[in-house]
Amino acid sequence: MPSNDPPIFRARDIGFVYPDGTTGLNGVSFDVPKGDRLALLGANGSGKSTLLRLLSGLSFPTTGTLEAFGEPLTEKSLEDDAFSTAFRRRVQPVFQDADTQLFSPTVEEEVAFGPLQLGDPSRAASAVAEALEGMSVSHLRERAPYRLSGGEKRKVAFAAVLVLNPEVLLLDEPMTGLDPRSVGALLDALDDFSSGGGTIVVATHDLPLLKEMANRAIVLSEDGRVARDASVDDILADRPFLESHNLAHIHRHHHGGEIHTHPHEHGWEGTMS
Amino acid sequence: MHIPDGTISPSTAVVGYAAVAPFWFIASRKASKELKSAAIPRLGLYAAFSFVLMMFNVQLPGGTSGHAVGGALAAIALGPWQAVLAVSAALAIQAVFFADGGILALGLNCFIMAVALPFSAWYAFRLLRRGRLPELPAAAVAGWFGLMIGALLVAIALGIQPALFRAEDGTALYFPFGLAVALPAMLIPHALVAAPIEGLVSALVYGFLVRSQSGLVQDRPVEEGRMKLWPAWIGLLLMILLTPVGLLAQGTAWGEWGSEELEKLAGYLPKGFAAGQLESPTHVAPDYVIPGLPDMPGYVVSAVVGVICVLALVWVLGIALRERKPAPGDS
Amino acid sequence: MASRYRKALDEFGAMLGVGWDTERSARLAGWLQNRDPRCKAVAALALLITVALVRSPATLAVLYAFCLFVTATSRLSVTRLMRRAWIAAAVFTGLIALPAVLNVFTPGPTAVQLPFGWAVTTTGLTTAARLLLRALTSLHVLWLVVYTTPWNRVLAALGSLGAPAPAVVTLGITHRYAFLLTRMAGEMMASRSARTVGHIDGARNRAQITNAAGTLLLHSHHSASAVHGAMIARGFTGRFRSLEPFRATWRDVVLVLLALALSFAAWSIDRHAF
Repeated sequence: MPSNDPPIFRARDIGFVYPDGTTGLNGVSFDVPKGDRLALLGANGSGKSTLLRLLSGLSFPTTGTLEAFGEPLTEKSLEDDAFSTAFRRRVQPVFQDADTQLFSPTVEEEVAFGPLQLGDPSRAASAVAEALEGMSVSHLRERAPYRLSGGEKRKVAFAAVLVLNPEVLLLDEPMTGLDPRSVGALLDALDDFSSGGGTIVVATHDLPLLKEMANRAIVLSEDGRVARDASVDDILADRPFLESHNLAHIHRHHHGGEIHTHPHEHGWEGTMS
Repeated sequence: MHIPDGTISPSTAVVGYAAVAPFWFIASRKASKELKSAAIPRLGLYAAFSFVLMMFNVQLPGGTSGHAVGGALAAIALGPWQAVLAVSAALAIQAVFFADGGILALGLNCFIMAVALPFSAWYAFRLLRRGRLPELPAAAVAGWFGLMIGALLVAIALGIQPALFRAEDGTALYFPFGLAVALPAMLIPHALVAAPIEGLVSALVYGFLVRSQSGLVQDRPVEEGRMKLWPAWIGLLLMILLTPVGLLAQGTAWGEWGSEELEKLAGYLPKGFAAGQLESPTHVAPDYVIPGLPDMPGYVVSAVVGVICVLALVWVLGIALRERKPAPGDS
Repeated sequence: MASRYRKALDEFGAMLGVGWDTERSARLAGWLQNRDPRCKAVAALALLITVALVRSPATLAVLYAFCLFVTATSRLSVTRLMRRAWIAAAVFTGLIALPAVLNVFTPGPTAVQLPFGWAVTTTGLTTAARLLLRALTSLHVLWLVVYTTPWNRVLAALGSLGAPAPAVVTLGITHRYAFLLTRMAGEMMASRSARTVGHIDGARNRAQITNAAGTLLLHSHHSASAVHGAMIARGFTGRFRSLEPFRATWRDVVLVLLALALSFAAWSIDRHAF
């Protein structure tokens, strides 16, 4: 739905160069309006994670400008405590590696970290209880995060982030390595978040889940440029495009005695389309 | 080199904390702008590396333990102030969780290994670089030098304990060996094993990090022109203040051989001291606080002579290492 | 060379397993665990200073026994802490204390005559006992705090006591990554020796070890930066905060007063009786 608010993010001609000199991103420009469900697509190495880090305010572009909520998002602007607190309350990343996201001795302390730092400490305890309930992990509150299963870790990471009631979620490959039930739970959580007015930016190369999570996609090419910015439906319908950007593959199939090839993706239900 | 609790007097411990506290606060203030930046995890990394390095230690009879510290590496790669925080953190973790180094002694341990060592190594590195030595050999020598300074300070801190703090029956209340034992016990193994390792680690890891362009080394070009030398003056002053105390050990009731050892070790004392110039105090008050140093007229003279000798040495070094600027008119 | 490193790492790994288990005991329902960490720190400091001031091994032994008693009452494993303290005291203070028994270093009345004119003196034994008991008791006092306080609370307490944020943050990160590094170092050494057949000459060995050390640094840095990023993203600006704010109750004040009283008593008895 079109909105008159300024876009959550405005990226103009973003470039990013790694410390060893390789180019991560090149001339990337896009807007993220409020309420969008945007996917960042691209093969490994195309810069999706880097772009998410830029949107999270954890790294900063080498060239170009990035604005969040109408204000420039730079290292300097985040030095101002007021601005950085406001920004961090509204924008929360969920990292690919759950282990780095969970650094507290217990799940309860983990989820409490954000509210204690950013919110009202006196309300922290009740907010934590609510968030744990919401992700169905209340029974894990005294456990050490590093001892949990992959799915549990991911749910705790979500709880730790949702407890802050952010406006924007930035997710990096959120479903990697999860069992079907966990995937279902997380998809539901994202759905609730989105229908509550939240904005989602998710980086992935997992096509089957794409339609569940996003309505728009930006495809990054292997040299870090924007190859396409369109609706998910349009992109998924364009097979040659998918193949040329390493999003779908061709390999040999053995059917009975026959061997043939055709382009397809593997669905996580085990079906092929 | 960690000093355990019970081997130094509470007064020595207080001096240790007093000496290190300003460095902790200044280092923290300098780092406070970096709290949200990548400098902090990088700092923790060097701290953790130092921690692991210090775990490889060997007990030295007559001293404490011998090991490399990694403080020289941190100083060369990040600057001495960040090294203060990094090595202090490692020492604190070791003291609290692994009983390596005491809690009362933590101030002194940090002053020696987290301040004196990194700063010495850093100054040595910069001096050597100004003398056109390539980075890796400079780091190696600087690492060796920094660690030796640390070993020396530990030996002195421990070795003066028996002279200053004794029970009524004459036994030592804290560290029981005098300078004559502590100095060789610490200096020789460190000079031969631990300090070369510190130098090696400093050079090789620093080289690796620079080559790998990982962003783990703070970019600091070796500046032309004057370095701020006032901290070196303070260090010098401290060393001067410490050295006459060594002669107190000459007066210990036990170990006549002690004074002979000290003469053999004359190289560690400024050349200005003439043996026997100072009257050793005959009473060391069995008290809980450092006794006021007895009136020693000779002290002043020897200290001044000592300072002059050291300054002369520094001046000569400075001339030797100065970059030669072509004078106008030279071809 | 590598095998010596690996052995050292194995030993440290074993020690580390012991070293990092404070979190578990810190969450038991003992009376010390429920005390305000700041008051515990003050009480411990008073005792540590007392231990350093007391001269008689007898007084030290009484203080040590008292520590053991307190340990038992707060759901901590007395035998485990005792064993750890004895080992640590033996390792770090043993070589200092042991030679001190000899007449060469501590002259005095002979207790045990040894060949070559050496002897163990009574004064030497006193000195050694003093050193060892000091080491033991100091460690135990320290661990009464460390084993009853979750590490996060320690960091929060330091911050609230005025320690500068960068110092506390560095401490926190170092704690976490010292563990990670040592574990990774052990794994790298293990996998390296698994891949190595035959003898490696010194220079290649050193080069490999250096590269291993360097790679270890880079791996750990990657993890450390990632965690730091996660903390920053959730608003970290340098202060560690706890769910339960620090609240010193009358019980905590009593703890401090008791510790001070005990310290003074021990010191004056020691001073007058010995």
